[in-house]
Order: sequence, then C-alpha cells, then structure tokens
Amino acid sequence: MALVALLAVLAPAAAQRAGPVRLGAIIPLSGPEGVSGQAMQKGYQLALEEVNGRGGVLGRPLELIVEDDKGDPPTGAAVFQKLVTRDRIDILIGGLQSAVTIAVVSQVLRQPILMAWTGAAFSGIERDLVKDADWFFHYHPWDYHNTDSLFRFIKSTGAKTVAVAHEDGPFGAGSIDAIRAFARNYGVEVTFIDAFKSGTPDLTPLLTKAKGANADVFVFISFAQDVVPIVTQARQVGFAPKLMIGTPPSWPIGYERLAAGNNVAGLALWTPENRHPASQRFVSRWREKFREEPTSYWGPLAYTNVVTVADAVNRAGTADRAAVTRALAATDYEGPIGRRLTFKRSLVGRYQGFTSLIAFQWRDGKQVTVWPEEIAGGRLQYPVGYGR
Amino acid sequence: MLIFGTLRSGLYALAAVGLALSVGVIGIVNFAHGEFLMLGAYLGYWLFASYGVDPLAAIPLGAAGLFVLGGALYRTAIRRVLRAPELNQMLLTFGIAIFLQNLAVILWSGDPRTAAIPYKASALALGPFTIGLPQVVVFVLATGLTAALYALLGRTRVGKAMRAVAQDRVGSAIIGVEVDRIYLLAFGLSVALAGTAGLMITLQLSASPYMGLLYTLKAFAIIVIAGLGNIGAVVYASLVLGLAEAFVEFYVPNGGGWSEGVFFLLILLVLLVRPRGLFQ
Repeated sequence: MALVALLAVLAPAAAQRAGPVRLGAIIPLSGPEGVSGQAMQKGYQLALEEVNGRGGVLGRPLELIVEDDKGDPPTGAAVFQKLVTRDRIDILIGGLQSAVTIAVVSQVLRQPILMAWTGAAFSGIERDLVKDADWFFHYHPWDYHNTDSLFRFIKSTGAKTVAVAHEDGPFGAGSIDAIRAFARNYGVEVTFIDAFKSGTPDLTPLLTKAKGANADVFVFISFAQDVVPIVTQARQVGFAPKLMIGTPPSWPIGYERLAAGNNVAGLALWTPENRHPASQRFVSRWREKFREEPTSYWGPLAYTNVVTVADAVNRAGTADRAAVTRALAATDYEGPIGRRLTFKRSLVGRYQGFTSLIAFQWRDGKQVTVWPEEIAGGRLQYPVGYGR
Repeated sequence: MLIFGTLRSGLYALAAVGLALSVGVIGIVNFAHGEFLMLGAYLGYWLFASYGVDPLAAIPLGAAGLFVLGGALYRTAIRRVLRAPELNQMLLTFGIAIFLQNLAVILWSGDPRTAAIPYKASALALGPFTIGLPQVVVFVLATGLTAALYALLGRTRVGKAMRAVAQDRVGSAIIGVEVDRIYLLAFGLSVALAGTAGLMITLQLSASPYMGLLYTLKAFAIIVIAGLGNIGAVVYASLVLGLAEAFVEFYVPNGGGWSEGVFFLLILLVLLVRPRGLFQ
C-alpha cells in the first residue's frame, strides 16, 4: 500500500522529467512582416533538428511551439497567454516587431517567464518596460545601436547631409531622436525628416519633399511592404541622391529582380555572402533543406536564439528559470551571424547581445557586404547616380 | 501636388465605381469589395511571375474571371440576404472579406509579392516635372473604364434597366425588367471592376492579403462624398480624396502619417455638412 502511494507521488515527477523541454515562440508568420517570421521559423527548424539530433537538452527532447502574432499587438498578447497557460512553456523565445513586443512584455510583467527575445529595436521598451530586468535577454541591437551603425557607415562614405523618411509606428518613429543625436555626433547634417504610414500606396508627395532637401544620402526606415513604392516612386519623381539606404527588417519577395532596386544599400545583422565558416555551413544546410537561398538575417538569428537557449539549459542542468538565466548570461557563442554573441549591459538593459549592424548594397539581385571594410565582399558604389 | 493627387484619383475611381454600382443598383453594402481588388492583384502577380503576362494584357481575362466569381457569389450568397435586415448583409460581406483574406494567406502566405515589371519605375517628363509611367497608364485606363461604365449605364438597354432598378425595384419588375438578372450583372460587374483595379495595383506596388481593407475604406469614403448611389459623381469624389491626401502629405509636416486619416475626416465633414453627398 505504501509502495503504491510512493509510486503515485513519484510518477508525475518522473513523467515530467521525461517530457520535453518546451520553448514557445511568438513571431509574425503573416502580416506585413510575415516574410521575416517565416525565415525565423525555418531557422528554428534547422536549430531544432540539430539540437534534437544531438540528444536534445538534459536528455529530453527540445520542443518548440510557434505562434503567429500576425504583426498585431493584441494577437501577440493573446498567444502569449495561450503559450503560458495551455502549453506551459519553460522559456519564451522569438519576437520581431516592437509594437508586438510591447504587448507581450506587458503580459510578462504580470506573469514572469524567461524571455530570450530576438526582435524589437525600439529602445523605449528597454527604457520603460525591461530596464534592469533579469528575465529579458535581447539579441537584436536596439535602435540606438542601429543608428550608431548607420551613421558610422554614412560617415565612411564621406556624405555630409542626410534625408530621412520613417514609418510612423514605434519601429520608425522610435529612431528619430537617436538619428538627430548620432548625426550631430558624427558631424552629418540631417536636412529632412518626415513620416509616412506603412502600407501607403503612393509616397510621391513625401519623396518630392525629400528630393527638395537635396541631401547626399536618403535613409528610409520602413517595413517590407513599403520598400517597392519607395524605390520605384523615388525614381519616378527624379529623386536621385548619391545613396539610398533602407532599413526594413526584411526585403520583400521579388525585390532582387526589381531593376529599380539595384545599388540601394541596407543595414543588416548578416547577409548570405558572409564568409564566416559557421555562416557558410548554415547557408549550405538551408539550401539543402529548403531548396532556396536564405535572404534575411532573421533565419540565422532565430537559429542562434534556439541553439543558445538550448545550450544554456544544458549548462544549467535544469530548466529552472534562475539557473537558465545564469547560464544564458554566461553565453559565449560564435555561430552563423559570424560574430561572437555574449550578453552585456546596454544603456539600461541587463542582457544585450548584438550591438552593431553591417552594411550591404544590392548588386544584380545579391546583397554584397560593403561595410565594415574588414568583412566587405565588395566596394561600395558611391555616388550611385540612380537613373530614372 | 495637383498632378500626384489627380493621378492617384484614377485608381481610387476604379476601386470605388464598382462599389458605387453595388450600393446604387443592388443596395448592398459590400465590405468585401477591397478583397476582390486583392484577388485581382494576386492574379496579376501570378500571371506575371508564372507566365510573364503583363498585368495590362491580363485585364480581359482577369475581369472575366472575377465577373464569373462575382456572379457565382451573388447566386450562392448575396441573393439570400437582399431582403434581410441591413445588418445581415454587412455581416455576410464582412464574413466573405475575412474568408478571402485568410484564403489568400493560405494560398500565397502573408508576404508582400512584387511583380518585377520592367517599367515599374519608369517616368515621363512633363516640363519641369516627372511622373510615374504606371501611374499615368492606370489613370488613363481607369478614366476610360469609368467612362465606358457611364456609357453602358446611359446609352444601353441593360444600363438603362440598371438605372431603373436602382430607382425603383418594384416598378421595374412591373414593366418587365428581370430584376434578379440585373442584380447578378451589376454585382458581377462590380467585382470585375474591383479585380481590374487590383491588376492595376500589380503594375505599381506589391500584392498582400491585407491590402483590401484600405481600399474598401477609401471606396466607401468616395461614395459617401459622391452621395450614396450617385455613380456619376464617383470620379469627382475620387479627385477630392486624391487631392486632399496629396496636399496633406506634402504641406503638413509628417503629413504622410496623417494622410490615411484624411478619408475619415472627409466622411465626417460630408456627413455633418452635406449628408446627401457633395455632388448629389
């Protein structure tokens, strides 16, 4: 009788030990940033295969439940509730858009869970919601890191003036103060800043105003759906700055075949032309599995996300939050992104991963890395002289 | 700004004239109108990406396909709610809109799809100005199609029957007009016009599953400005909206962020000041 009672007590614990370690990911599989979210999902697939192929974590399978936030903040909050209450995940990963991140973090503040978060560049999140939080690890650079990289790149071209058009949500508008400050620090004059609504089909009035500013460089901070109207309509209104730089989280499908898109520059964490051996291995695995070229850095970033979390759980020896937090804080990983990932203090955040971007230029459908010089695969064409 | 505002009004007119037809003739408020435009845009993308068919050349096929779709939808769903309370009509068309959006996500994923048409970024010089070639093409075509629709309504038997039905359904039936056939024709034509506007979008922009709502809202604003059921004034109302947006975007600081609210403001102003429409 006592043995039966003992077994009854021990059985659930044993079953729990044998069950998978569960990660929950919130990403946009549809909506304006669906293309980035789908790249992330593929990155997860590669990482899961690799981790589980090596025996999983803590001798248990690593399971990932992916939820589509559709780029919609209320949906992000709702799927978070589903992940923690119904799926009972151990760690929350993923994340792309700042607006959705705000909604998710607002939920986490009430229901704490370890967040290993890849996306969100809007530093207001760090300042107002996760300042000093010991449960928030941020992989992607914040907007001030991005802006620092942007102006170091612009400075390297010799440009003196810059015009900026930004979408008016947290992603675009959140960078504006940083843009003014960094431009001043790097001695570049901002001659024009104006906002647009993401998804607006006709941007010719905005581009005509930007043209009037006569700046050397034109920067557009937009989502994927705005890239084609911007680069095509700029040519239609005869707007031909010395260089156009776009910073969408991903570039739209078909952009590489768009003649008007040639020689436009972009900033990214990674490009497929990255020559680091881990990056090249990643690209070849991607091609083999998905029969396509990886085009966005969100794939390798998502892969890095899962691999480093799995590694931290293994090093912690348990899925317990405090132990995994300590292990994740000690991460030192060099993977497909091609740079070392460690978590250090940022302006006000406790655990910040990557802090800089690289610059590339579209050349005949390929993203050629052009800055920083030490990893450049080609020379920046500047001034471009975009034809009509 | 006059040129930019006028050019964009062409696409708006094409998107709105179909809705005006459906509201004016059948009396149905179709919230799925923008989704038919989205289907047209995907059709244009698919024909270009798979077979290299220029969206302009695809208009006859696309319009015919969407006409058939509109007709089938009328027969299977719309007809059943014509005598029902207006709320039922709205719920049905909302449902169709959500269904079509999700169908598009399943079929083509959520990614914006860009047809890399060679002349997508081409421009025409007009004195000191340059304007986009696709925008000019779309404007000319939209104006032509809208004029053709007016001619159909004003000069043909079937057009006159449509106007008669719009004025008095029962009276038209008494004098021998087959009201149900006219409704089918009007709804099919409305969907075909929305699809054609979608094909025109492929010329300039990308196709995405969520693009329809914006055009539905703008089309509603236009038919409110024109006066509900006043198909003839759609072109002028489109011009009002196009110019208002272009001026806000150009002259108001950060006006691009405000421009999508212009149509709400116009609806509000018209409903307060002249509820029957500016051109009624």
